[in-house]
Amino acid sequence: MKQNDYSRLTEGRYVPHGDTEFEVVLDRINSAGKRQIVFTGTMPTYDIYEEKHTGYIAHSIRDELDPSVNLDKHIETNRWKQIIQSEIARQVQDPYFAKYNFSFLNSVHNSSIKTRA
Amino acid sequence: MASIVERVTTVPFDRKQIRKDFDEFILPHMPRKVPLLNATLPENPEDQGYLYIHRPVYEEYVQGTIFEEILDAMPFKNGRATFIHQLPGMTLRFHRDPDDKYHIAIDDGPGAFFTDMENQLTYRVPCDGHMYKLRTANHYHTAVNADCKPRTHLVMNPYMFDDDPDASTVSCSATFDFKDANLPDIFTSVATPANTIEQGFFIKWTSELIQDPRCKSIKGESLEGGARKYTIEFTSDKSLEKHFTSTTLLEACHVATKFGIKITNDFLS
Repeated sequence: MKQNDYSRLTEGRYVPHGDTEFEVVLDRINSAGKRQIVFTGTMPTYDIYEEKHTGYIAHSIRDELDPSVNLDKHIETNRWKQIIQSEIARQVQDPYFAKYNFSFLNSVHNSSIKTRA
Repeated sequence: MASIVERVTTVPFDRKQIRKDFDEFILPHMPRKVPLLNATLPENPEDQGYLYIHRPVYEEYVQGTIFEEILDAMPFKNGRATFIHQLPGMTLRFHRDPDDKYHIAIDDGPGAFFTDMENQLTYRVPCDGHMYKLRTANHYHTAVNADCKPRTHLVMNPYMFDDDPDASTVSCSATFDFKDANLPDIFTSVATPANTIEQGFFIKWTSELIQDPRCKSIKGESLEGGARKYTIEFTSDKSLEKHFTSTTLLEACHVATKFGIKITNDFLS
């Protein structure tokens, strides 16, 4: 096995575990008078080794709109849900997709913690 | 595929002097249990616990050595700088950093490796007196010492604040609290919920903060029950608003709340 093939070993560990849920996580008028929107989709994932739901895949779209725009219609017209679904599907195929996943990320960035091999 | 290890000096420092000064002046101060030794300090000793702050002062054991010369010659202001002395068989846990690191290898045997986890590529960092930039910002990596001798590096973090240090500042905080969260039961003694949440949810945001030249400092505090509070200081109202309403932060907070983690964003609340 070549070294680069190793990444394939992580594929398939985290599988989709439910439907994508959508939410507007930001809808505010900023200091410049613009209406800022952040629309996020999240899909739960299941760790087949731990046999637990351990994470989410997420993708967000950001936009600045006229305050009078009908947001629901804007989301539908611009196919934001479909775009997010497509991005989530892409992430599922990425062995490092586990962006918000406790079984993948039970690591620390503080390098004072190490293990002795 | 682009290498994440890049040499950034044209003329090397004296590698023999590097080894000599390390053995003579630095190694005697190296802790035995966790072999990391600080090299730079903030001007105010009370700011030592900051995650990100200007550290223009050198530890006494660094002063007068070639490491003072190296730190003075860096093409950036000094943030944290650390001597890391990985004993044979010692490995770092795989992780992401909020920033890129600059390394001078003091001792790096043929069995010592730096590994780009995301591309599954392994690199040597030559012990040749040159400085190397390791692109570790928001990128999974680790360092493995499979050699019979220690792997010893001086690791430098740039301080990228680029505004008038005397300018007035504005600050804001974000906190995560997981005491009522529904987290999966998979933690170990060294991989606790607090550091896992910090690593998994907030490294990308911290990385974006550090890249903003109007971000002056980042303070991280552990609160009662394991909660973590980050206080960010800016010299620009616009930067503060941008980062506390960023897609990166809001998406991470949204997912965190799905696990029952309580998030407080003082800008939006």
